[in-house]
Amino acid sequence: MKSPASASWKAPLKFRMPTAENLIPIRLDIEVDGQRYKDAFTWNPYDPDSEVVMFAKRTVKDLKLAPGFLPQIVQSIQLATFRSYEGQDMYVGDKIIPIKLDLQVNHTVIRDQFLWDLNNFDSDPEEFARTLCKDLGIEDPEVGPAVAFAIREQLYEIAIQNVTSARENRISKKGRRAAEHFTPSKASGAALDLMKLFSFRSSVVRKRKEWDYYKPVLDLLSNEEVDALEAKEERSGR
Amino acid sequence: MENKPRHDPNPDSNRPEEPELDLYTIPSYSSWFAWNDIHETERQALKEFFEGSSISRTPKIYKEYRDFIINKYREDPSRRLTFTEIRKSLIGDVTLLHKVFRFLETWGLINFLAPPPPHEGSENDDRVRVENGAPNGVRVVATPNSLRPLSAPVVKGKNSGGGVEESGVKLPPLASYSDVFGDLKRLHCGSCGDNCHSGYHEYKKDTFIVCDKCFKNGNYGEDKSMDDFELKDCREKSAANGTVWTEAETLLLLDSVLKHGDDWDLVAQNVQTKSKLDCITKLIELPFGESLIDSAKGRGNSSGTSMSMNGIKPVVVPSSEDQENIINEDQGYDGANENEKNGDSENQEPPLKKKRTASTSDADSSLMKQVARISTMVGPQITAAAAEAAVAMLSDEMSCPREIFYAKFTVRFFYISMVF
Repeated sequence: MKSPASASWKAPLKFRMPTAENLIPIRLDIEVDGQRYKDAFTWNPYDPDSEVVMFAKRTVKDLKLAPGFLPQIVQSIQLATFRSYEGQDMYVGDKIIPIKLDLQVNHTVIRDQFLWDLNNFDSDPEEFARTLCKDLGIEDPEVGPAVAFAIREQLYEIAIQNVTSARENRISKKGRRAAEHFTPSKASGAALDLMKLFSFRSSVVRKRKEWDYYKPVLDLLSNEEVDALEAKEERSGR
Repeated sequence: MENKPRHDPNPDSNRPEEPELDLYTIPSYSSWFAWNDIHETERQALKEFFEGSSISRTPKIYKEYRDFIINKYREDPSRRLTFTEIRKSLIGDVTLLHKVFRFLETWGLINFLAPPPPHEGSENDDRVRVENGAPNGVRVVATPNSLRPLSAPVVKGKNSGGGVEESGVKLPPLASYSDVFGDLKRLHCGSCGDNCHSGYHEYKKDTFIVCDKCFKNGNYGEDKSMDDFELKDCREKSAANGTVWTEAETLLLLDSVLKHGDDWDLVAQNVQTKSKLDCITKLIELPFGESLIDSAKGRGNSSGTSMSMNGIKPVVVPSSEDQENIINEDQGYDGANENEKNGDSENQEPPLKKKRTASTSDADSSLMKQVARISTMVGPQITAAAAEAAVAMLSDEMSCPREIFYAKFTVRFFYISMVF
């Protein structure tokens, strides 16, 4: 049994998104005086507070929200960026995870699954989303950003978990070895067993019967279905 | 053309012993490609696979990706292979797979013969709607400040991808030099260069002429003899000095030229009291007359007048009778433009010293800037005279009293007067 190659141990990195652009996903769901504001966008965690306030003001003005929204929006963003664990160590190691999509954007429903290398800092969720929409001929311009955001959310969760588990491992006495034995993240299922998948013997071409699991499935909803879903979601949200 | 055995991904299936030979087209700059090897080009472009940094990225894995994608494309070279199609079949990071895919596409190893992506084309069509005719609320008129509407232009020529259509506005045939000046040939002696006012002697075998003086002196070259010349009387003498122009007629003439350009039939018709020849003669004799003709003919390329209208070049279209004469096809024409044009043509020095101001080839500089620049080039009296004449002409054309005219264009005039 070969011992894990020492090349797979990576020096600790400072926390960051494993993507080319270090943007974190922020989701807001705020209710004030009967008005509800829901939004999802990517944010640069290094933007100063002044940027946060400016963004909040502009949003309140553009969407004609009640002034009570302003402090709430600011706080939500600050909370999200505080969680960005700036400066903290995280171990990435060799880790490829499956990313799953299951989202509805207006009339489009997308379900998909694909692999993402957390170690690939050239990765770009927005570009992936663009290619996906282009290849599938999706015309609704809101789908792409939603896909990119969903990817970022999952990556972000895992990055956070890497930080917390790194912290825990540091505290415990396992030390260095622990870096190589990550507990699988809850959010996205088990990391792939790279040794098995990429060994010299096996092929990186998937078996045909599995192809359907790793391709996007697109559904178009009718107006009634969209309304029904919206109503259902509002009921469960309140 | 590349001639390679088709790569068989299924070694176990029954295949004839000899590999099938299929022809596939790849660009010549990709001739380095070989199935059984990895070229330096690939190593450079996709370093990740060759650094030994991960067991998920090895040369063997790269080759598998590459071969699968190329073969997939070659199953039907006329169809565009998309990334989404192949990534479901390959195990690996999608970002890296996409990089391999783009690499192969860039080098024409895949999708070389496939049609371009349809989505991008239709996207453009959806966003941009090409409409014919003027938008609502805009009325196209024949000349600036005229209330005469222009009928919808006849479209000639093909519509190039939604761009500007060729205007079918009809123009009178371009007047040639001889049209304008033909009747009043200014005859220059071939040997001394003077005008032949009194009479001239024409060489029978050629278009060579000499004035009377030179003929008598024998100055016409050694290869010619006296007998070769024919005496001809000048005709222009009678034409030029006979007519008298009143101020009203002159104004009417200027007005007509501005309106009808160099369609002298119409100009003469307008002036009524003077013949075509008279009109042309008079116009030339006016200090700015020739430049008016120039500007009326249209200022496409390199006319020395310093106005650069952001205009469309006049389109030469075969003529027919009674056409609408358009001086300037620029639909953005307004009172100020005409004003400037008048001003400019009068800004030229008297014909003897016709100073061509440096052409302001910046059509993007605003109109007022151009006016300002022109005004600075000439003396204030000229600018004032220009403004005055322009007002006179414009108010005549618009048939409205000067006061109202002034009220309408006060700002513009104020600007001009401010410059000096």
